[in-house]
Amino acid sequence: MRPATRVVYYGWLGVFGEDLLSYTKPIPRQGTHTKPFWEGARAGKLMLPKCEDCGRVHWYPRHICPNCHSTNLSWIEASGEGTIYTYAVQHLTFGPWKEEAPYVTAYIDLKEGERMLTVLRGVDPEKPEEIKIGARVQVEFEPADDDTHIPFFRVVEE
Amino acid sequence: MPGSLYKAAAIAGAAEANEIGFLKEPVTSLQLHIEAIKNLSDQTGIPISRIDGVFSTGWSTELCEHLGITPKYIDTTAVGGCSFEMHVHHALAAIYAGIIDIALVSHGENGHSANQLGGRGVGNYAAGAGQQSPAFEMSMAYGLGSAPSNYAHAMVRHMHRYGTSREDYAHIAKVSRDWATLNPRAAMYSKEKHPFGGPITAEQVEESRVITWPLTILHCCMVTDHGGAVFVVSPKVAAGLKTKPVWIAGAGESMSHGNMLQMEDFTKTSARHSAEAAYTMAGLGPADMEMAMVYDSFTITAAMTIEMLGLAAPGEGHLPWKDGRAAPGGAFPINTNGGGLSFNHSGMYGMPLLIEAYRQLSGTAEDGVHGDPGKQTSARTCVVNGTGGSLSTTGTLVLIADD
Repeated sequence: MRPATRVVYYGWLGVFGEDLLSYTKPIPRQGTHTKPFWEGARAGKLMLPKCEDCGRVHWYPRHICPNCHSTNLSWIEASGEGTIYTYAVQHLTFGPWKEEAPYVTAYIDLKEGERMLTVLRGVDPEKPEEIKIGARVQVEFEPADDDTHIPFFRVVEE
Repeated sequence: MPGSLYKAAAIAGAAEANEIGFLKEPVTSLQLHIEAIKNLSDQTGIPISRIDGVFSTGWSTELCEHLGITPKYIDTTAVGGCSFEMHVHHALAAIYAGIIDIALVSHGENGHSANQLGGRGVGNYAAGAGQQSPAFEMSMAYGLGSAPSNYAHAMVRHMHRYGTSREDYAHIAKVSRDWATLNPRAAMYSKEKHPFGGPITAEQVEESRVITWPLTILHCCMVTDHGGAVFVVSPKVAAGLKTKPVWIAGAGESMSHGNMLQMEDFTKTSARHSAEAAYTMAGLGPADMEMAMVYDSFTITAAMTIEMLGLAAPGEGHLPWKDGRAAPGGAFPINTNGGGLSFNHSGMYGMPLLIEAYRQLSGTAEDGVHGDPGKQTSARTCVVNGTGGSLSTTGTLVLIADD
């Protein structure tokens, strides 16, 4: 079987390429109730769980709405847009991520509400003071294996 | 004659997960928990949002986060199959004491499904959902490691919101080291004791190696060895002892989240709620406190906690250290043992906080072995605050000296 291709990130300059190397970093094990999220990710869509009763989205995916405690849940396609809530630069890290250090992790406030964790792209980890809280970001997906495309966020040039 | 807990509480309903047995579609333990809780709520008419105490075998933080509730009594007793009977006992006592009104005791265990999910032992007894948690599933890909990798995000947000600088927080590490140099038991007591021990400057804190920007290594607690214990006794027992009692005037606990994904405001911890409960129980307030022992996993943790305890205005949590009030000889001593930053931090630092608070308020804070004077203060009241997880859970005590 042909290994999954992956988009390769060459550093903060944002140069992209593609190769046949396998994704070396930890890949999430898909849950029993999160299939719509991962199906969406494979199609380049960011899917969010939404409560049909109170109308609010929530993140991460639940078995019950954490706002009104209804179990009448569905999924919506999100815009993939958001802003940086906060960030940090990881210098001392472990496992496969070590090769990429330093890199910038960030919590992203999604346009639809709720917050996601990401590794931020399009920023310079050596100049953390230049990263702006509130800066606009857009989701992009990186194929990790045939089933799992992982969402990351990239700073959008103003 | 019945005991004081006689008929102090009742069991109001009982429900199970939707499907139980040998399930064809594998489920997680978390799902079994949540289904049973939802069904119990429907059966009794008690809204999930009204639950104010949660009892489970190690699952409580995760269940509360998943349900979006923040109870004021959190129990995770996990001693095997009889745990749930004990949970009922503990809930009875908490209700009798007037701390809570509605206790949830919950169980979920995918003994069969776990085999199919390939995770036998994961997400089962006393372990939380672990790798089967959706919060883990949605955050494990992003290269976070140990505590500083996450706490640093709170520091950046706090600095952004209040316009503080990393150097402001460096004073916390510097002053904590000053306290440690008065404590021969402190890991960083002196250069003789540890090559990196002895006094440090705020500049050295700033110039030390970056772990997760903006946290340098001297902004971070150590990882050491520690053992400790305290007795909690009745007034009657306390009266007949050789040791001085230190009275528990107030106690409170709270939580805001488990995974930082769910932390609504990265500049606030649930200590504001646990402290309010403790102060209210004690009939005292921040102005009545004469010293504080607060968990300093990182400099930012200590600063944020001081704000939550009402001992500093929001954004000014670093000031007691920067202006010297928290330092040896200062008007409001904080972390007089040297803290997790310079005394000892084995991983869970709650016990050293208690021990030092007891020593200070019982007048035994000078080191008993070496006889070094120095760190004993004149404080008669102390607020103690422990922080757990990723700024997730907090417990606050208000302690007062004997007469």
